[in-house]
Amino acid sequence: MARKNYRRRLKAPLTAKKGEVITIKTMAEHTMEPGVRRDPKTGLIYPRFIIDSVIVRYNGKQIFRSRWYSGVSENPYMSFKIKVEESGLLEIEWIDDYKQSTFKRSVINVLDNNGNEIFPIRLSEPSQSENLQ
Amino acid sequence: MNKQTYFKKFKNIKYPISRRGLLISFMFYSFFHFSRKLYANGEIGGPFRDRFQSFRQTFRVEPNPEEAKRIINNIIKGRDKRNNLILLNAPDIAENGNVVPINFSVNCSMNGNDYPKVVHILVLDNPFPEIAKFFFSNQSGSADLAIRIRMRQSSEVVAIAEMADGTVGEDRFFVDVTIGACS
Repeated sequence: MARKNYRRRLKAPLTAKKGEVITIKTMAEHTMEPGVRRDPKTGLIYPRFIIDSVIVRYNGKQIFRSRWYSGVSENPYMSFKIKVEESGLLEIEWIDDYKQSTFKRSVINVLDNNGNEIFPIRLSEPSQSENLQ
Repeated sequence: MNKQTYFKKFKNIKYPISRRGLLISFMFYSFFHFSRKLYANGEIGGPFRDRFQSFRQTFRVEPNPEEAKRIINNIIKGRDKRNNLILLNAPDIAENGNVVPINFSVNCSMNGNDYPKVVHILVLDNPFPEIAKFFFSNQSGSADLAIRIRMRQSSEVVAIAEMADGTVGEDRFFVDVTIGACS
């Protein structure tokens, strides 16, 4: 039962062009308890248990953040857009009310007009190669 | 027992907290106790400490639309609203108040200072009017977003965009709810 609140889903394109704006769809399976609901038999109130914040990072840099309160529906779905200039790792972090964090990651390959991949680290640049020698 | 030996007893006792430490801890406690009341009244801090959102809710609260208006005034702070800055979309009639899909988009080029720092979403007749805040940056390509929210009764949904320049935009949408959620 407890396992159910920690399932996450992420849908992102595998490849994209340089400078393209891509949509990312996320969903977290979570019973967002607002802290007002009662058990019908015993009359006890379920304590509040919600996802507090969602943080989006691309290549380790934070690009988007959101703060949620008890008004967000259960199994919260969110879709947003990001701009990609180079291929990298997209990671999304959901943080609970009890400061428990869960991750989901995916890799996006960004291609040039010629079909070559643009890497975040370029070793072929002359300035870097001179420093290495 | 002699009087002198009786008082010598107390001299040898080593208390776990010194008198100075106890005084300092009492000072801190009184400061926190006092500041918490100020937070609740909205005299200091942001508008999001209203109605004890930071604490666990363990009781049913009735909606208070006057307080929702006060929260919106705290966000806007008397600035002029820009026209056609933010566009909010929501269904006219929502059968289930537990899941109401909404989406918004901000009219701006995300270059330089022309991007929304914060976008607030509020429902006026909910007991806890603030629903979400979204913090954008230059790297998020366009400020389009879709999310699902809860509504207890039919009321207005408000989206407020605070740009990095300091300008503000607002959009409202009225949603009819047939079966309300318990939030």
